[in-house]
Amino acid sequence: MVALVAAVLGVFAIVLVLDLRSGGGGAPSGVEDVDVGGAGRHTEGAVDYPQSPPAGGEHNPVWQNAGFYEEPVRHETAVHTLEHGGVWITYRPDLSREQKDAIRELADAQTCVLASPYEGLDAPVVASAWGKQLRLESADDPELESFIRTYHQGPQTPEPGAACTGGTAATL
Amino acid sequence: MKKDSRTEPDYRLVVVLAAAFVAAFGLAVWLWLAGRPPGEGSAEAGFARDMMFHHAQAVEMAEIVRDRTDSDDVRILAADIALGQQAQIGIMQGWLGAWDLPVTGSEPAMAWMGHPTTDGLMPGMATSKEIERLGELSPERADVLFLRLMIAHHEAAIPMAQAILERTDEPEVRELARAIEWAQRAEIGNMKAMLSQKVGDSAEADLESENGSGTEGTATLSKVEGGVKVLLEVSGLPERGTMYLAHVHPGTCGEEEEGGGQGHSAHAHRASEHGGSKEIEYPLPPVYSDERGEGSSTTVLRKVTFEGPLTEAPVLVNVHAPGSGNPPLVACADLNEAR
Repeated sequence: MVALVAAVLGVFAIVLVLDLRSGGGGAPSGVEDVDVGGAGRHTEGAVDYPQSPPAGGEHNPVWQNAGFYEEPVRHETAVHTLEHGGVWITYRPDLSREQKDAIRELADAQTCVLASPYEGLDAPVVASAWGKQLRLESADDPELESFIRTYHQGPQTPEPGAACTGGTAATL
Repeated sequence: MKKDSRTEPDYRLVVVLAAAFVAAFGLAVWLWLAGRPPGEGSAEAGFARDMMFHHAQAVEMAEIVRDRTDSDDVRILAADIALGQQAQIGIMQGWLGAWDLPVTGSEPAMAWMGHPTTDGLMPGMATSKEIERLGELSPERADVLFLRLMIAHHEAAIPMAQAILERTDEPEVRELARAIEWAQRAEIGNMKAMLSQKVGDSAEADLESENGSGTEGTATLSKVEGGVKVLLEVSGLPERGTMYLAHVHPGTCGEEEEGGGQGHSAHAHRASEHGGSKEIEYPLPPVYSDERGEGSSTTVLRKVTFEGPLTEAPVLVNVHAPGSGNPPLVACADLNEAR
């Protein structure tokens, strides 16, 4: 009888483990929650964001198109892309060519990933989504891909379904 | 002793096994029920259908204006609304497909919220006449009409999103409803700011001839201390030295002309649904025609804000021919088109 109960429990546990493993993979570790509120107001002006790089808040009426940029982009347009469910990968301007290429590959593989150099970053690479931020030492860190899997058009998105093309591709 | 216990049935074990079986069965039933998708008459299905319909009109209006506008800020706003809401329509259509439910329901719109729309339009919806005007007006006027219509449209979507949040535990539905509530509230603020930037403290609407009267003019609204000043300047009045009645009330000009009480009730419905100004009617001082058939009327409407009569219910200014009862109109202006 004890053996029967143990067998049933064992099968139950295996099913549970298999079920959990069928999910979208683990959440990245080291993600900071940034309180930026819900969808943001529009402003034409420059915004003094409390975080660097910004992770949400007031922004320009025009959004920054997704893609890899070699030149810095306006913070206010990039924040609008975060509102549309985008992930913004900011990197130190002096990052190596190999590292930049790794980021470019990540950006090009998704519809709403934006990557641009950012002066004065406190880590070589910082990934941001609306209200979420992850600091990384290297673009090869698997946590970066995991961040994209979790937050690219993820549940934090204030405007699900909004486009990441048709905005601006201007650089500074 | 050992031998005895082996021959007697062990009731305790039987009871434990029976209890475990009942508990497992209960758990299975509960899991089965909890895992079932929302059904035909569910609030979730009602919300998805109504919000898809509501969103579709926002896409329609945004597409018209995006093609016609000369203003970059309106074009990018219209693109944002058209693309975003169309994608959300796709999300909701996907739910219905996954729940094995048709896009078209059997209940009237908003029945799931406890107040079905049995006549007229859902709250916040523009009339077909207003949509037509978006395509006919000069781009500058179409821009401001679009902003006013879209503000009213979004304001009505928020209570729908709140209503489903009170009624559902479905995570995907909650996620989208919360996003709609927040995003549209932010967008209303953005559109009000755009509108006041375009309109300023004073706005003009054209008084257009009705019933072939040949009467024309302008209705000028301006912000004054404690209210809104309304100035009507009319020319081409059919009779000289005559008093013409004027008033402001809900509706759009074309519909008035067609004489449909239908359009009227739709408006009253919309205004009251989103906590707007109900069946507002402001009498204006009459217009006296002089020997050239011209006249004017000035009044200050108290207890209304400059944005009030413009952004809530659609309103028009009517100038009626003399006579009692409901004399025919000679001119009408849509205040939602004022800029």
